[in-house]
Parts: sequence; structure tokens; C-alpha cells
Amino acid sequence: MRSLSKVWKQWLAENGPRLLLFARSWGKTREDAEDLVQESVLKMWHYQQAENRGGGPPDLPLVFSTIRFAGLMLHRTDKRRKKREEAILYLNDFQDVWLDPVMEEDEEALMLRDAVQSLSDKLREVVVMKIWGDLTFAQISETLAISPNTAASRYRYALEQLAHSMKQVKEERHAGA
Amino acid sequence: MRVPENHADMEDALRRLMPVALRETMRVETEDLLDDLAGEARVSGFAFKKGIVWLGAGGIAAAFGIASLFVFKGGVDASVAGKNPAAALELPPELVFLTGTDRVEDVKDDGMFVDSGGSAVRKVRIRVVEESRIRDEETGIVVQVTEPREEMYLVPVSTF
Repeated sequence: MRSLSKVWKQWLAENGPRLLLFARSWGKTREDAEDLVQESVLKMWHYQQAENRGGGPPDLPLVFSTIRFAGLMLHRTDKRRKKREEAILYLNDFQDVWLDPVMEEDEEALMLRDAVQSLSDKLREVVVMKIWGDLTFAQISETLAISPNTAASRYRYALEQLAHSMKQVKEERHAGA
Repeated sequence: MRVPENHADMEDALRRLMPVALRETMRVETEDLLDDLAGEARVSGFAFKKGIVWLGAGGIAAAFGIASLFVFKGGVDASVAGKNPAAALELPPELVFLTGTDRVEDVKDDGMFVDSGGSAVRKVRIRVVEESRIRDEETGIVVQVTEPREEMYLVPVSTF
């Protein structure tokens, strides 16, 4: 049992950042996203303890699905709350970024990071699962309950959107220079 | 600024961005959660194994129960007796058995009757509560496991 705890911690160290990135689509704040990841880890633990599952960490597609489900529930609660508190404005903290620019501290990386954050939820979740989750389109389609073709076309469209956003920013800067 | 020309370039550019690492507070909280969960699993796993041990150690328990009968003869009483060490021997290595007691909580005399061999016997029902304290060496958590059970004894009666 001691080794089981260690295996899960190692799994968390390896996959935690990508799970958090995915959860950011569903939580308004980083804290919300962290809660979603923790809630999913808890659910996954209990799920994996069933007799035929061995107790070890789960496959990533299953965790993505669980985070998504927990996110949907949070979103529903959030919508109800927003109706009560209509004056609330959610602003991104300047320091509160989803992707780490330290690895690639250049203009292109920073702009691409902003472009990813501004993608629609549907497009971004496919990109996150494909690029940082290393999931296949078949796995993404299972996670999102869509066809593999839809997953692939959303992915291609997202890449085009990202290129378009970056071109647009470049042209605006040229015009302003 | 260079804009990626095609999908492959864009994928390369995206892969160079890394997801933000978990905050220390979140990492510690989640690891604590995993430790707690592993602790729960340990207790339930132990309880299961212990049940098997006690099945095997039925003879010893019966001897203890009958001995208790003579101590509490004639009425309902309670007592504490030494713990059967067999339970401790079956623990996983990371769990340390600290103390254990078998407490007789209730003794009920169901009366005398004659068995199939024609001998007079007294039927006695004993309710025992077994309490064990176990320490998890990894987390330092001490868990108390309480397990009630009921035993039935047929005591031969030779004098009236």
C-alpha cells in the first residue's frame, strides 16, 4: 500500500500540470481548476480501488473525462450563482497564466500562449488533450463523446485560428509602427 | 515575430510551451489527500485479513470464551482479556500492532437442554468486542479498529 501511494504521487508529478491546464478551461480561477483536479484525483482513487482495476493511477483519457464532468457541474453551479450576482466581472490576473512562458521566453511564445487562452472552450480542450495530453483523436473523441472526425476537424480549425490570431497581431503591430 | 507557416510548425511551437507546474500548496494538499486515501485502504484491507485470521484462530478464541464463562458464571458482566497475538502476525510490514483487547460486553444464558447424545448442556451466548490499535509507520497515524462479534458455547453440565 505504501508503494501505491508513491506510485500515485509520481503519477501526479508527471501529469498534474497537464491536468491543471485542462481544468483551466472549466474553472474561472486557478483555485477552481485546482479544486477540479483534486476532486478528480479523489474520484479516480475510489474508482481504481475496485477489485479488477488494481488500485494504480488511471489512464489519462479517463481523468480528462472526469475533470470535464466535474467542470460541467461547477459551470452549472457557477451559472446559477452568476444570475444572483450579476455585477461580477472575471478578469485574468496578469501573472495567472495557463502555459509557462519561461521555457520559451520570446514574443512568439507569449503571443501563442495568449492565443491559446483566447480559443473557444471547444477548440482549446482538443488542443490541450492532443498537444499536452498526448491523446489520440480516438481517445479525445471518447473523452468528449464526439466522433474522431469531429475531434480532428476541431483540432485543425484550432491550429488555423491560432495562426490567424498571430497574423492579426503581427499586422496590427506593423500598422502601429 | 515569426508566425508558424503550417500545422506542423504550429504544433512544434505549441509543444515548446509547457503547462504551468502545480503550486506547492496544491501539490502538498493533493499528496496529503493520497496519503489519507492510502491510509483508509490500509485499514479496510487489514480488517479483511484480520477476519480470515480470526476464522483460523477460532479454537483459541473459543478457549478464551469458555474460560470467560467460568469467570462470569451466574450473571452478565464485562471484562478485558489478553489479545490473541495471531492477529498481529498477519499485518503488512508497514503497519505495527500496538495493543489489542477482547472485551466481553454481554453474556446471555439461553438455558439448559439435552443434546442429541443425551447429555445435558447449557447454551451460552457471548458478545465480545475486539479492539486493536495499529500504527501506520509511513504516516504515523494510529488507527483503532473495533470489531464486535457474537459467539455461542455449549457447556456440558455434570452437576445440578
